[in-house]
Amino acid sequence: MSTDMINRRNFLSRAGMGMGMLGLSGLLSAEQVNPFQPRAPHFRPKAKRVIHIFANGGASQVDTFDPKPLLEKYDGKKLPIHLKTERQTAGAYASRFKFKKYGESGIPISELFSHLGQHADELCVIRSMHTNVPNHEPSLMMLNCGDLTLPRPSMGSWINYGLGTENANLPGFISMCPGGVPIKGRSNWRSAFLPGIYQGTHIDTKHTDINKLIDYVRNKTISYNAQQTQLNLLEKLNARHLAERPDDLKLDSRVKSFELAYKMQMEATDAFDITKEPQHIHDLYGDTLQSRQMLIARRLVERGVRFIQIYHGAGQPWDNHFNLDADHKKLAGESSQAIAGLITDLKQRGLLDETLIIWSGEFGRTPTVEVPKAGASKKAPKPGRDHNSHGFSMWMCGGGVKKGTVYGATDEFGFAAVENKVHIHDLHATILHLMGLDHELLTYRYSGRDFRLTDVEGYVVKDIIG
Amino acid sequence: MKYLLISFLFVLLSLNAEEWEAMNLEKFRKDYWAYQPLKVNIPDTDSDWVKTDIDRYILRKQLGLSLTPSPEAEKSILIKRAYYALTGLPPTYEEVERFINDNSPDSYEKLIDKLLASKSYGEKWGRHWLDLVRFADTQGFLAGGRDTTYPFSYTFRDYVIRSFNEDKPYNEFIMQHLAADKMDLKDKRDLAGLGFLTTGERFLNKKHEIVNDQIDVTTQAFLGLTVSCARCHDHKFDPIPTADYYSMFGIFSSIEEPALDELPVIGESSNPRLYAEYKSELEKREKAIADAEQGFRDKIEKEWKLVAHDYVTHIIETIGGNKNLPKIDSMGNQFRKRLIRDFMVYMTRSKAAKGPVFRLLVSSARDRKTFGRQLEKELSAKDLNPNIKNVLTSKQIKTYEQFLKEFAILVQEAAKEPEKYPQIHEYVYGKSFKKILNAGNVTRFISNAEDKAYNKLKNKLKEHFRSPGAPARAMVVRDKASPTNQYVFLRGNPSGRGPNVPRRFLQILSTEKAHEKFTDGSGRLELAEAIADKKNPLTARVIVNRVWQWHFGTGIVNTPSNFGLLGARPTHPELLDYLADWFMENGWSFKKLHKHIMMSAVYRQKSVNRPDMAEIDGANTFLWKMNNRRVQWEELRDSIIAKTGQLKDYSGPPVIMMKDKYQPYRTVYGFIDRNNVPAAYKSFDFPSALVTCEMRATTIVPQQGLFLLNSNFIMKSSQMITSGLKAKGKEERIAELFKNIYSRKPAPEEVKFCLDYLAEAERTFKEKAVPEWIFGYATLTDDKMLKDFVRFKFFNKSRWQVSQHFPDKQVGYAMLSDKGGHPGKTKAVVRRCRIHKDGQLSIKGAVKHKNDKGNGVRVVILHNGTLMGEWDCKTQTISTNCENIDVKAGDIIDMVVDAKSNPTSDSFEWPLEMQLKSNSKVEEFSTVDSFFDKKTVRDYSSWEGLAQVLMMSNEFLYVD
Repeated sequence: MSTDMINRRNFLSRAGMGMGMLGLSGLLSAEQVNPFQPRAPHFRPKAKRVIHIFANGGASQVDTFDPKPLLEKYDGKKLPIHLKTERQTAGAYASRFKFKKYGESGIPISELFSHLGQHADELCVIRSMHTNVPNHEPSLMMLNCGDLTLPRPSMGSWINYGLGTENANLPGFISMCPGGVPIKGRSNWRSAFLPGIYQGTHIDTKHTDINKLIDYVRNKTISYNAQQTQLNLLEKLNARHLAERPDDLKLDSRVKSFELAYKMQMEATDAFDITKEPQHIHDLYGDTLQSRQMLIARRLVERGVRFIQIYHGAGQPWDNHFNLDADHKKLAGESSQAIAGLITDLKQRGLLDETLIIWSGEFGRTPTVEVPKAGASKKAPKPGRDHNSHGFSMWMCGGGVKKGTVYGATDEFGFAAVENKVHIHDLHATILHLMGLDHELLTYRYSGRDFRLTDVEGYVVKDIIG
Repeated sequence: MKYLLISFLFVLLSLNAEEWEAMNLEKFRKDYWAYQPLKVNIPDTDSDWVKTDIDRYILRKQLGLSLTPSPEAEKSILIKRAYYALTGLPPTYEEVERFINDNSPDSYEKLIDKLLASKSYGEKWGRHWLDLVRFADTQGFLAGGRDTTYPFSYTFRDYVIRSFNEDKPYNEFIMQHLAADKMDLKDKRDLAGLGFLTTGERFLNKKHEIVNDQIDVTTQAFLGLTVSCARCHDHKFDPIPTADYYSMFGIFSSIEEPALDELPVIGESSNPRLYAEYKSELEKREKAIADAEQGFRDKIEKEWKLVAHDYVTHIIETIGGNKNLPKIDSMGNQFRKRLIRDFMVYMTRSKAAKGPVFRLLVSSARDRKTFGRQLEKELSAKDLNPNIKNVLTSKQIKTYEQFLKEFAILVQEAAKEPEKYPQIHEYVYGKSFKKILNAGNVTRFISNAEDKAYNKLKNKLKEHFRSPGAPARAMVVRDKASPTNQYVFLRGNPSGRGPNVPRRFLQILSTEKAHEKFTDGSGRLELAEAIADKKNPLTARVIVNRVWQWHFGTGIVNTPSNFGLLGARPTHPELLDYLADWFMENGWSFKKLHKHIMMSAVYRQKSVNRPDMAEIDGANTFLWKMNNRRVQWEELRDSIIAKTGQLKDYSGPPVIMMKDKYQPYRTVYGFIDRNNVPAAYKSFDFPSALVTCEMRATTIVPQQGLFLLNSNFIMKSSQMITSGLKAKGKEERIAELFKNIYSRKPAPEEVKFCLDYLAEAERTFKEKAVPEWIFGYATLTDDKMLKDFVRFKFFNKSRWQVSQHFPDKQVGYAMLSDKGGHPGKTKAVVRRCRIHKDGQLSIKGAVKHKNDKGNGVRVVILHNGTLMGEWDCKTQTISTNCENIDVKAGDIIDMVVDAKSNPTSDSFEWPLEMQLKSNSKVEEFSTVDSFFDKKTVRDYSSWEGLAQVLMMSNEFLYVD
């Protein structure tokens, strides 16, 4: 009782606090509501939905969004600075990709993502990202769940817990990954101690068959009409049952949930069916697996899915320790047009302003070349870069971010963030802020204390908010 | 009240650490309810409603709030409630009838006794316990595709179920969880209780996180305390200083897990043949690992002869503080880090450091300026090594660097000609080196690449412990040979060393005198005794509150794993104390406690809402009615299986549920991968198993509806239920279904609802959701007519064929696979599709024939026997599109391939995409996808659909 009172006082003292949030945890445990039902944010949101494009494995900043001409001078030579990364690296390795300034903002983008040039004035590039360690597993956990090792809920789960969904016919948090799962598997979209229903729904976008995309979404035996016949009877039986138990909200909600499920069968099938798109839209996105993913993302955004995550592929495709030039070119080649197409398409539909697009890896890569392991192979591998947690780039677009901006900087070699540093916790605080959520207020009581996505850290980066 | 508490909080927050310990432990013990001794004082409140002492406490509270209790529920409701409460399964119609017709005054009591004695009781309450102890069958994520399955986690699960069924006293149960290996056990299977410590997540084998998890689950589950909050700082609200956390840390970090094959065997393999197979295979796999380890030893020893001098140089340079050392030795291999470390210890810290070979080298390794002095000393030493002497004088060594270089050469030479350098050889390559190499598991020296091959062997061994003949083992722990106390990690950071704290119990729960250091090994047994102590004010309170919560849906303390300051206050503190005391007085018996609670009037109340009461106490905090509840996931799945009559008894290794096979076992026996819980589990709120779960969420989401509408599981179950119907007439069959599924007769109105349903279903159930496929062979006549169609009888792994023999004596190589097939001697092979709805059908694809030996194939598409297209194909790919065929539901499309009278080399591929447009809706399917679909339930009748509806209804999903 007392703790409730303390919470209530805290909550109520914040102006503009929506009532929806207030009763959430109490209501959930009381089994009264559809936990997906939309809830009011803490303040007026800039963005309603998030598309997180995850260059999993870690893309190289100096080859994409953070040009470092000085590296050319040092190419092949030892840099005056060296920071610890996962493996041994040697001299500098200047980017083999040409940068060009685009748009009025003149944001430099390398030829890898030349398609994004047309949207330069929409982008907000952060070049001063940093995270804690140069290893995939903990860094994925940090970016997705805000902690290196402990089982904490993922950002998508937190946001769905905070805001509910605008479309109960679809899951509120969808993680797309073709061909399997990223490193750390399903932990990347776990709900941990939040109710299981906020967990991300994993979709293997390698498949085109809807039955393989969402479990139990289709009945392969009887028709929709036959199911309607079943639901007609169900409704009568439930009504009789309810009449003997008046005023029972949960029984009533259960009745409605079957109607939702029935509709979801059609809506989900529809949402993932990109064959319904006209040719010019297909042309806009291109025809790679990434194009498919981006196009599905747009269809989901249109239908009000709150948080969509798009992994480039299973494992860690962007992890180019060696042969980086060819592999980065291939990976960017698969996604550059698709991402640009997504931005164009959302803009045309007037959805870009309320959709926050985030592009990032779990960390960046070194400006130095990785030393091959002795005896690993007879032929010397082509050059590549090691993991780099000290500094890396990401960008955001739409959803209320400051357009045509470059924020923060790494040192002159692109090794470590030095100016206006942004930690993952700060990124989380900022994303929540754009969604209308105060990262210090979005809490869940578990194990004796109130937990947050940002734990005890995180500052909103006000300068990148439009 | 609330202001008092808030000011209490502020007082606490403003204290420094010393004041905290000195003053607050006493203050907390005195002032905070949960640390005070139990106080039992049964009220004399009375009324006709009161049945047991529990009711007096409940009624007294209600009277104070102008609430009145609800009357006893009908017998039909009571029996269902009791069944689900104690067994997680519904009663049958006959059981309900018998109970209703039993007018003896003790009929209800007899019912409870019967249910408590059934095996299902342990399966239900064991599952509650497994939630609490975050049980799962896997250890969480591991890189490199390593097997994460625990081969013997099931022995802990079976131990828990058995313990509930045996009504093991709770204090003993606790002790076995923490220290079964140190107890005098009557039944060796109780060793499996230690699985409590070993079936959690392993956090990529990060020791600190594993220990943290053990502290967290131990203190939350047994004590309702959140001790893990004190990892980085003193607990913000509760009297738990950081030192307490590290006292417990010392206990759990002083234990270790034996290897799988050292785990104690606690069961026998029931099948001697399988056991023998298991044994011989086990030896093989263990030998493979031993061989690999010996291989590593041999390899390293061989290498050492070539690179020891690199290691010596590396070690000396490291001591000298050189940070830019090569990572690779002169043979091009990565230095073995552990070998550097171990040899360094030997060179610099063992007796050898002072010996004639290393003495000079080591003595000035740190400070090379001292070399001159040391050199002088060395030259006059009695036991000066002749080889070193020779070098020192012949090469006129002046500097340390010179000497190091020459020393390395000596080491190298000694490998080649031991007889010339006997002493150096003995020091570097002799017994001492072998001792280092054999001191522990050789794998600590091996590289990642070598590790991979080794891991494969380990995986194979681990898998073998899951083979059918493998005997059950307990996942035990044991104390390390030398248990150690733990330094406090300042701010939770292992590199920040604080004071060293003894292993002992939490200070708040120990009186000054009793707060002794644990001395028996790790201290687990002492910890267990302290938790299970009758005087511990939390243990009994916490568990009776949990049992109460699992019965009523809300606890007396509604934060059952947190009795601390931030937890909820008890709504009925006196009742909580009474129950805790009663529980201990009655031998810590769960069964007695259940009965005591269930015999009360408050438990037996109706669950129907009463608006006047709801106005006063809407949340039903004071229990003026019983709370109804949705069945939980296991209860739902198990109930459905129970209704099919197929539910089978089980125990043993986990079963994969909700995948391909219909598994008629209770869900508690299912395999739980904590990182990949099946979709159906998740949507019905199965907990994450990463952390302790005190109470499941009960959400209402459409995914639950999807499962009940569409899963093969519910449809197959409905078919099984319906196939058992004996009645003939419609109304009689409806009544039989109601009796089976609801355990009651239908009301006349319900019969009418069902008849209406059947009338409507008559029409709608004829429509199919997808086309129906059959595969066979027939004669294709010259005028493209199909004659004598016969279905393939035999499915062999990936293809349909005529008979068990392939090729078939008469028909030859006739077969169909997902993508293609082969025609028979004189028979064509036929993919037959029955269209499920009216519309326009387009078929797209191409036939491909490769082999140029024969004369190729002829392919034909027929619609209700009418030719739609015909193609000849030899060593080529030809598109075989047929667009916009008008079709009606039930029409037949045949896709036929014929050998053109010469069946030589006629393998073909012919995958087709089909698109059916109807009412502007487009459906797509393909011959490939449709081929493998053997799981889908076919021919689902409206009666089966009816059974399904009954199991989707609130009456089935809720317990009043």
